[in-house]
Amino acid sequence: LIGLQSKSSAPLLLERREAQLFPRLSGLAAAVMAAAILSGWLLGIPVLTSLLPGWAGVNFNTALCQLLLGIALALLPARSETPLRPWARAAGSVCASPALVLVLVTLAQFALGVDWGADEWFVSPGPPGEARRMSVIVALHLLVLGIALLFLQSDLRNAIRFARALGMAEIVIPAVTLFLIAVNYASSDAWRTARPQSVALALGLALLGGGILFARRREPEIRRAGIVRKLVVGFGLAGVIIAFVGFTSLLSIQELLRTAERVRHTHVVLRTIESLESGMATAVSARRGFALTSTAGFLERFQAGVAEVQQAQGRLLELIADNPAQVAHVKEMAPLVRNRTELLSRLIELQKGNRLTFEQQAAMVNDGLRMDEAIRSPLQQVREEETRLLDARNEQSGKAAQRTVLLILLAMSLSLVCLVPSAWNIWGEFRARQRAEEALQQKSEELNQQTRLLQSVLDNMGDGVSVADSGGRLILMNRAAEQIVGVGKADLLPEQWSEHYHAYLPDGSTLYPTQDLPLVRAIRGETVDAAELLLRPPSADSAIWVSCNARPLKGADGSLHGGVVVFRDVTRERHAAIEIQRMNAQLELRVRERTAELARALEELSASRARVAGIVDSAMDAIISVDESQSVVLFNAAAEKMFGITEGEALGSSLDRFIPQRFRAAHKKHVESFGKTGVTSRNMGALGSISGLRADGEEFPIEASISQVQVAGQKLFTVILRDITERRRAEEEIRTLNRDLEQRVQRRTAELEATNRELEAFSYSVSHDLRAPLRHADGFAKILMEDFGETLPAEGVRYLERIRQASRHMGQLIDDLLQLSRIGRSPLAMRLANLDEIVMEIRASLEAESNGRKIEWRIERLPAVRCDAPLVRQVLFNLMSNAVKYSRPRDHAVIEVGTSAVTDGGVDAADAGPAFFVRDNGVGFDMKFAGKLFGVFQRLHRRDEFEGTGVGLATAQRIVHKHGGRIWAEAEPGRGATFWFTLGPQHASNREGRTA
Amino acid sequence: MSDPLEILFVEDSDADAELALRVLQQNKLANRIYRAVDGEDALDFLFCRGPHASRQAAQAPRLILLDLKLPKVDGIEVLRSVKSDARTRSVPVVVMTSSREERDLVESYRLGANSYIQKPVDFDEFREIVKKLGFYWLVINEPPPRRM
Repeated sequence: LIGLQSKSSAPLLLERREAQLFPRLSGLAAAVMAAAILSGWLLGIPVLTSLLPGWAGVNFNTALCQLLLGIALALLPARSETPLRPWARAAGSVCASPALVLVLVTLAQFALGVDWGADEWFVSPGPPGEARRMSVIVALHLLVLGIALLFLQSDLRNAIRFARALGMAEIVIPAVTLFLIAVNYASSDAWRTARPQSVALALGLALLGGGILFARRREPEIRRAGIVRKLVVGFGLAGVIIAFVGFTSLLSIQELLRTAERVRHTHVVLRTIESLESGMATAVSARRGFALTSTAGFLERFQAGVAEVQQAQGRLLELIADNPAQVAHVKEMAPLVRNRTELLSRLIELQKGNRLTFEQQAAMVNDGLRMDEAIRSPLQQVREEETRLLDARNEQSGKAAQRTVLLILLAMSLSLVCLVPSAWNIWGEFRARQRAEEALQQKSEELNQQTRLLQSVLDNMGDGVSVADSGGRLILMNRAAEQIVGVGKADLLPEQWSEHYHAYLPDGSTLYPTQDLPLVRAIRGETVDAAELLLRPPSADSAIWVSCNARPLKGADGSLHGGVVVFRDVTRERHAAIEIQRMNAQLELRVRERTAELARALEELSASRARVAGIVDSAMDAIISVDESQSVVLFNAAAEKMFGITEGEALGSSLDRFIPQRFRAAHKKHVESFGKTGVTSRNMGALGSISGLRADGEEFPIEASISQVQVAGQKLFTVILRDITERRRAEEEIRTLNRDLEQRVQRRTAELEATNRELEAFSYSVSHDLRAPLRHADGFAKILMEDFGETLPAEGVRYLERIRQASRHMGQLIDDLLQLSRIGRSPLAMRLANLDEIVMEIRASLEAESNGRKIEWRIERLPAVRCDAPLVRQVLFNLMSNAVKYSRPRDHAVIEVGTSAVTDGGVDAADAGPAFFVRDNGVGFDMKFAGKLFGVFQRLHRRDEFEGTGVGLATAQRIVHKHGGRIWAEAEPGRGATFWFTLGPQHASNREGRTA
Repeated sequence: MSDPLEILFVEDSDADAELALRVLQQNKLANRIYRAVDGEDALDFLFCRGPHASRQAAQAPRLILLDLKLPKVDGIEVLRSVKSDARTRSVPVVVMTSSREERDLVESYRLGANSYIQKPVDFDEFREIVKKLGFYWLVINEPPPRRM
């Protein structure tokens, strides 16, 4: 429908090249044959004139015609589509025309009964009977062939067809002639003598006729000719051969029958001769018997014998009547036979009368014997002649039979040879056709699929599609089209379309003119884009706007096949457009209203301008306004003071006057670019520090902001300036101080780091070296006790025990100190830690060590906090173990752990985060010593009272401080103590990675 | 030196050495023991150099007890040499030191120390540790096969 053609158009059958070549080859073959015959004539070689020895030769003029016509045939192009080249046409005509003339002259001779000696025009007459004349039949054949070839010179289809019909006729006649020649050859020689036959002539004519038959075929014809020719040639030839075999067999059988008849005849002749001889013998012996016995019976036998002889003689004469030589023999014998019987009769007469003497009898008997001899001689000749004939006929008959058998075998083989390739070709053709059919089926399947696909596309597309053929008949309307139009496809003339489909011009009342309908225009070959029409189907509530594109449908050759229109419902778009128009109108109205409001506002503004002028003049900052050409239009009192000139001087002068030379260009650009931005104000300092220029030439730093306002179509820039000389100086001072401070901080940091490193080295030494002597002291004290304990007084052992206690205490001190120092050195590993768990763990370990004391734990739920958990654990452990330790004197110890808002004054609760406390009801302490509480090695109790190193609280304080928190205590002697600590603000980012 | 040496004891402090040897002797663990007084002496001994040139290198000790803080060549260096030489790599090294510094601990294990023990101040604890140590490495532990 719309260009869905199969892509490939591969030939279904192979081109038959041999079919194209055949006419040329046969033309060439005929020409070559003719040339050989002509050379035979010209050179006087008789064999060449007949090409086949023993057969009739070909007439010179005939061979000449054959040569010319053969060349003309060979020059023809193979295909009728290929036009004949001018030179080939000229050459063909030049060849065919003289041949025709020659033939016509020959025919005219026959027709008019005159002799112009046409056959001797070119050569002297050959030997008598050797194709001295072109026969009428041959001349007619050549005439037909010549006419056919002339017609083939034309490129017209009908002329070629006519020529081929002539060729068809021509091939049949020589073929029949050839067949007859073949039959003749196979049968008796009676025919051969009848008329001289020329195989070469018949072959040449057949070649020309066949060539013409297949010349200048059209391509499809060549293909069709392939199979037709195979059928005709193969089966036709086979049929001819079979018919020939049948005919030949019939002839052969007749011949055999004839031979048998002759043999029988010979036998009859021989038998008759024998009968004659036996009759004679009977007569002779009867005579002899009578002579001896004189019985009458012998006389009867004698008469019978003589009758037999005469009868046989008569029969013999009848039998051999067709053979004069034999007749002569028999006639020669007849008087002898007659004399002999007369002699015998005379003897018997004499015997009867007894007049016969012995001598007489003997002489007569001797005569009789001589006569017998005389009779035997011709009789023998007749017999021999008959026997010879019999032998000859037998031999001839055997040969004929043998030849027939051979001929039948040959013919059978030939027909097999003809049939097998034909059958093979037909089988191949059949297979090719089958394949072609399969391919065709596949193609049609593909086409079907594509058609279905196309149909589904058409059915599912949102746009309506209608197709009409060139006659204006609607042939397709897809689903969307029917939905949009509301009416299905109908068999209508284009003139009826507008009415049937309710198509109107955009005015909504005029039917769409048929000639302007997009589809009609497309059918005419026009292209239509975005044509709008209005559909008003009675079924729809409102009119439907449709936008159409139409295209002509053209074939590959550009011919018009019809048109297609694609359209869509654009009603909503139209409505939307109308809505937009309406809203535009509204918007315009509102803009006008706003403009009026603005005008009112402007009036108010100008009223307030006076007020503004007052403000401007009383402002502390210099205010300068310039117009677009940067000349001053406003200059307030502060500006006068700042730049040292009066307003009167300043007004109208360029702003450049207040700007140092080197900044002028940049400033001008800045103001211009600012003007383009449309921003109403900005700080000028954003582009770097700027300076002002006083009337006395002094430069001073300024801070400026610029604003622009459009007044009466002119742009005004207002610059507000502040002299920041003083501020600059102060800032410079601050920067210097800061730099100083920075350097000091760096120096201090370096010092601190050095100290830290020293401390680290120190603590490492302490760790290693201080502990060793303690270990030694303890070790040797122990050894002393072990080795000499028995000899030592109890007091000595106690002292040794004190040494060991002191060593262990010292070891504990060192460990605690190392821990303390380590806190300062390593960075905090902050993470969210669950303090509840930590407190519970500590409580469990403390309970294990409290030797079954009764302790009441009051532990609140604590929040999770970001902190270095192991360190905070240390803090809680130190505080809680202190609480356990210092509440030891209490029978009922109460230890509380909890959290509360910070109560200690001076610290912003929100900033400090939650405060944690550990409270006990232990011995407490006097708050006047609170300051010493967190010092290293500071203790408020004797070690004998409460063991300890005085490092625990110092460690706790250091950890808390490192977290940015605070630790403090509230206590009263005998009433217990409460230790508080915070862990600094709980902002996640605040403390991460902090180092000491 | 017909029998293979059992312990190379590297300890600069005579007092420490005496205390440790006492414990080892009391527990019959110090039959064949060489005490090196510093790191250099220990390396000379192990690799048959200097004063120990005549020693047969084939006889590596079964255990090295190594103090870290040593004169001349410190314990970490000795450990590095022992563990980087094919002849001595398989000998177990027990670091015994007063130090509780984490960096010593980390470095020792990184270099391939087999144990790390901090010498406690309390002699009773010290004795217990040395005893267990000796039993473990010399009695319980199966030494690597001697190929040399």
